[in-house]
Amino acid sequence: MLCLGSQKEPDICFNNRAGLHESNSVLIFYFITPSPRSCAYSFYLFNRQYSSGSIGRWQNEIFAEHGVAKLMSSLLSLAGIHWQVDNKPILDNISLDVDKGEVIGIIGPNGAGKTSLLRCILQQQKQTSGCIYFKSKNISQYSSKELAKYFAMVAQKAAPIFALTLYDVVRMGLLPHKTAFSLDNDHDRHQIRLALEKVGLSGDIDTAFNLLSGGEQQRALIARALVQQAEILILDEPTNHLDVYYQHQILQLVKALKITVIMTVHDLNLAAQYCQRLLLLDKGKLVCDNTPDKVLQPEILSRVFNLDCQRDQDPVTGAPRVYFHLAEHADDNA
Amino acid sequence: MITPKLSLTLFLLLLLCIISTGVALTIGPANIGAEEFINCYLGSCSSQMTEMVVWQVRTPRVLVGLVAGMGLACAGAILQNTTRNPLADPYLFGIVSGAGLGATIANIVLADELTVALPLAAFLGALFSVTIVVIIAKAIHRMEQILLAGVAVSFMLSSVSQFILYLGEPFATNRVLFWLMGSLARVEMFNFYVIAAVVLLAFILIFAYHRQIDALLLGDESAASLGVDVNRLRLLMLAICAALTATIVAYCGGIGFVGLMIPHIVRQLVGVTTLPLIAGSALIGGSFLIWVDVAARSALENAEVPIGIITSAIGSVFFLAIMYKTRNN
Repeated sequence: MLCLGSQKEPDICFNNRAGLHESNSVLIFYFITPSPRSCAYSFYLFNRQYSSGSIGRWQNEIFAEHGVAKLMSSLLSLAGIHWQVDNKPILDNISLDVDKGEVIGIIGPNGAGKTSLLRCILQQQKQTSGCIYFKSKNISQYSSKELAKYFAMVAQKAAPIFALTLYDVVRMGLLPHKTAFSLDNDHDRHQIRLALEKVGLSGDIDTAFNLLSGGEQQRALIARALVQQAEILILDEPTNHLDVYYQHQILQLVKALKITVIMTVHDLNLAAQYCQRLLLLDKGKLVCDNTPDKVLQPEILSRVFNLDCQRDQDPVTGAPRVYFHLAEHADDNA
Repeated sequence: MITPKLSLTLFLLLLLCIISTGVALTIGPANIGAEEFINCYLGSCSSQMTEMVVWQVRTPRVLVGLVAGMGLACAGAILQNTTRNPLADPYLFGIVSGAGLGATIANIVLADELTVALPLAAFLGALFSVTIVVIIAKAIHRMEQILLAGVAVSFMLSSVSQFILYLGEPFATNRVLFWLMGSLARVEMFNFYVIAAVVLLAFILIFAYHRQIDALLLGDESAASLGVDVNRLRLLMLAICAALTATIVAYCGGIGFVGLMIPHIVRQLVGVTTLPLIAGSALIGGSFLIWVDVAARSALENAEVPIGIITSAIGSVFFLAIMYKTRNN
């Protein structure tokens, strides 16, 4: 959602990036477009007085490059994100808004830029151009410690050294909220215990982290994110290397947390079942951004994945299910 | 987590450290009992000879052993955690060979004023080598491979000092060789104050950053996502290790493997997070070096065994033991 005017009491809000608006005998046509170079949205607004009898000229008022602090009210907004390495675009003009509480899955073939997009959002790598806004503020204005209070990351693989215990790992989540020289207090320990309970790992907290199963490790990292009190949980392939049971367990857990989630998912059917919204990336471009039902269209998928695709419905959940087959003409495209 | 078990372990280690210090003071060629020691500290020595031994020989030696052991063990613990390499040791990243080069040059050029020149030159040499190591590691953009860079720089600087010694006079060669073997025989109270100050400063900095160091245990990316500036933290911690080791090497010569060995033992006892690890490493490291020094001064009659020889002998066996134990991983 985009709003004009002050943050608290916007004069006018629009649900889409372009549209017609009618108020007080003024017809307004507007469109909003990210301007990649200057880190702002350009807001184009054309208005036209209309009253019976007289039709005025379209007046072209351009609120070019308004500070987006005024325009945005989404939790997280990406505006024309470009990232290229050696002139090879990895992410190509990606714009999207994320609202609070959404569970978003990023899908697409290998090398489509899924993980790169996550890394850009986390500012672990700087985009070449374009801007990211978090809570109406350019994300580059947050320090990395501030960002860690809002964003928690569950990486594909953790690389523990020494006999790091489950408790030690979850305790790391305190870091962004603690000052130098601080020790853990009772409240912190309580938080850690609550988080462990929430992910179902309250058993032996002194178990070595690398002796846990893949699913338990993922859950431990999610518990760490809970201790971090992050508002946006970012997961990179959370179901990788997990068996079917743990895949569903993790995604169910993530969904039940009721926080904003952005994750990359390889398994499209899992994505359809657990995400409200899917972003389909292909060669760095955002091809589709919609509900699973709209994104998982066989025509689109077969083009992106270069496979024949069929679709039906999950008999229990009603979520769309897709099937792929190696196309007979695949050799021609390869 | 501070469990009763952890508190008890740390308390016992503290006790070990205090008792070691006390007992070690009374062991040595001159037979001075505990009672006489206490009298001396209270200002009523039985003889001038005893007073001299207590204040100028025994006390500085045991105290320097204590803080040097603390410093080396903590430097090793921090280095292992921040480079994510369990076999890291401050001596493996060029510090000793840099100090050796400094000592060599001091022995050739400033042979008349060695008491001041040698520690200073060794310290500068150590900092010089660490600087080169860090520059190389930064240039190849892999701070985690700093140990490999350290080994390379180590060989380079050693060959330079060996070349200088080869051309130089035999006496200087002897002095440098003995110095490199490490000894607490020549230390003074002043050395204790300097080393203790650096160790204290290191403790304070480590305490300030203990959560960040903990976060590194799960990998760089994970630490970065918690808001840690990984490269800056690593550089700061390397600087602390370098300052600790360089100061200790400058006064005591080469004492290897303490930093490799002690943290491994401590992790088995108190876990891997920074605060208990550092506390445990300091206590065990201090006690360990005190006892090694006791062995060094009482193993042979009429002669001292250089302390570095003993620590290296114990350490190399320990090193192999770790490799054997972790062979399956």
